[in-house]
Amino acid sequence: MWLKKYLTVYKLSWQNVLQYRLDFLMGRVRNIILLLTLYFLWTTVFKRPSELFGFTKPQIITYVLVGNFFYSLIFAHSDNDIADAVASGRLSAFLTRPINYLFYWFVRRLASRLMFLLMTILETSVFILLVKPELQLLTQPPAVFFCLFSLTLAIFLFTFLDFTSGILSFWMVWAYGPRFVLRMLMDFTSGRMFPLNLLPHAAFTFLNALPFSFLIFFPLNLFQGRLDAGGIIRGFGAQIFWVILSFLLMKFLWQRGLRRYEAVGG
Amino acid sequence: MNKYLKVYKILALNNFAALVGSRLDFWLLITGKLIRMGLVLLMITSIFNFVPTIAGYSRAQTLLFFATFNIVDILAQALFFRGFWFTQQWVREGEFDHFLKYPINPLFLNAFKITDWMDILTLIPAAGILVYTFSLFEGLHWWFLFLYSLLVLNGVLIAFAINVFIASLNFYTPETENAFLLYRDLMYTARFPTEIFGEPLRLLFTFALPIAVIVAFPAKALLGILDWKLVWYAFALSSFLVFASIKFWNTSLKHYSSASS
Repeated sequence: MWLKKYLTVYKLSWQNVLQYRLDFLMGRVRNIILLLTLYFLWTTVFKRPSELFGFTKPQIITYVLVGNFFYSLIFAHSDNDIADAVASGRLSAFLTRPINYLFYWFVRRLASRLMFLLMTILETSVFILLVKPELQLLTQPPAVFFCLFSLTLAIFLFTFLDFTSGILSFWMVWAYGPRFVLRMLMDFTSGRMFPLNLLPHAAFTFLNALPFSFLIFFPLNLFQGRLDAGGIIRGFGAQIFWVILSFLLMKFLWQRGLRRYEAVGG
Repeated sequence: MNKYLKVYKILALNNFAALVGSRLDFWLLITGKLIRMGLVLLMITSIFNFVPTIAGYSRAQTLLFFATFNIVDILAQALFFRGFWFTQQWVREGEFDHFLKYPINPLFLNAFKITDWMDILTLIPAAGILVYTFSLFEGLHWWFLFLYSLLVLNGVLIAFAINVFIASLNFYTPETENAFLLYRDLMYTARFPTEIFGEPLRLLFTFALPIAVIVAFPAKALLGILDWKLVWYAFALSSFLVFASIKFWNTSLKHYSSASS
């Protein structure tokens, strides 16, 4: 019974993703454009040199393609639904029913994540068939396990951070500002656009200490076997720390927010 | 003309008042834009710590492409992008009815209803990056600077036409969010010289999806490497696109049926 209601939410969310097919297709074209931009940029940069900032050409191309997969899996489409629910009073419907709002919201995101992941697999496969880039793929089973575990933690980390930014709408109508800042930090310091070790040492050290590098950069490093045992342990330690901290912050703000929440009308 | 200027002034001032109503949001949104600009700039300059050129362009030249993109993109966003972005909401909720009842061109109202003051403020650091980039070149001829300015304005006109086309789609389909975001993502590709894409895509971005015309042409004109035929092509293209987009808007408007207001 408990599972059935969330399964229904999942099915409806899945259908919702495909409701406007042209809009959905355009969303996929956007993903392809970014993939092409990054691929051609790095191919051009690596035209002559055999190695730069610790990467060879096959490694950076693999980084871009696999990073695209990870992005589809981790970065769920973030819309205004929490802020909208708080601002409009629709949150009351969830608070008065036997449904956990966070889990409901997570299941909705899961549907779009899986849809986008399937499409990314299809697009990337076509890309690889057409372009035939030189890749360097993973060969060691422990790395697969570490990478999958890190990806799971990254999904939780993104979820908690994203939900926290939405909760701020209890204090700020729509909370556009904090959500936009968080999204910019996630997009540009997660490692999706470029490996963070491209940056000067001071910038790299600073950004690597933030939680966002554990969304894509750290899992990708595990995938490519770029970390020694010490680096893996430290990395997981930091990632788990940020997951727990973001969860506690989210929980604290949610409880505080509900105390000041008031719904008008509805 | 005076009437339109007066209306624009009122709309712009109302927007400013609404935006600064939430000062925290206002400054955080500006911060987010500065973070984005700053990190891409950091990425580009970091690449040049390892290689001397990208697609044959030096650090200064590549920065010029990035700086030009910033100026064109910010002008487009500040002046009319937000207005066109909200067209889908206004059409869906019936608020667009009000645009049609006033004795003023509905396209004008739609485009300029929202002036993005946050983007106007980010024009300051963007202009700073542009001025710094200019300083990296020795002896820039005034003619190239003049041509650069004309082509930047030309680029903004093309961006306007593209936005009109997309906004017109709202009269046929209720969901155009990804169409606007697609335009934005295509614009973002112009942060780098289009030569990184290779010939087929470069031709696509020049003649089919004129992103190169919007950003790369002004930068190349300043560098003195833009063929004169392409300069005329740029101006002819913007004239054609503005004319065609307004025609398409007027035709599409006939499909509008109010959702009740």
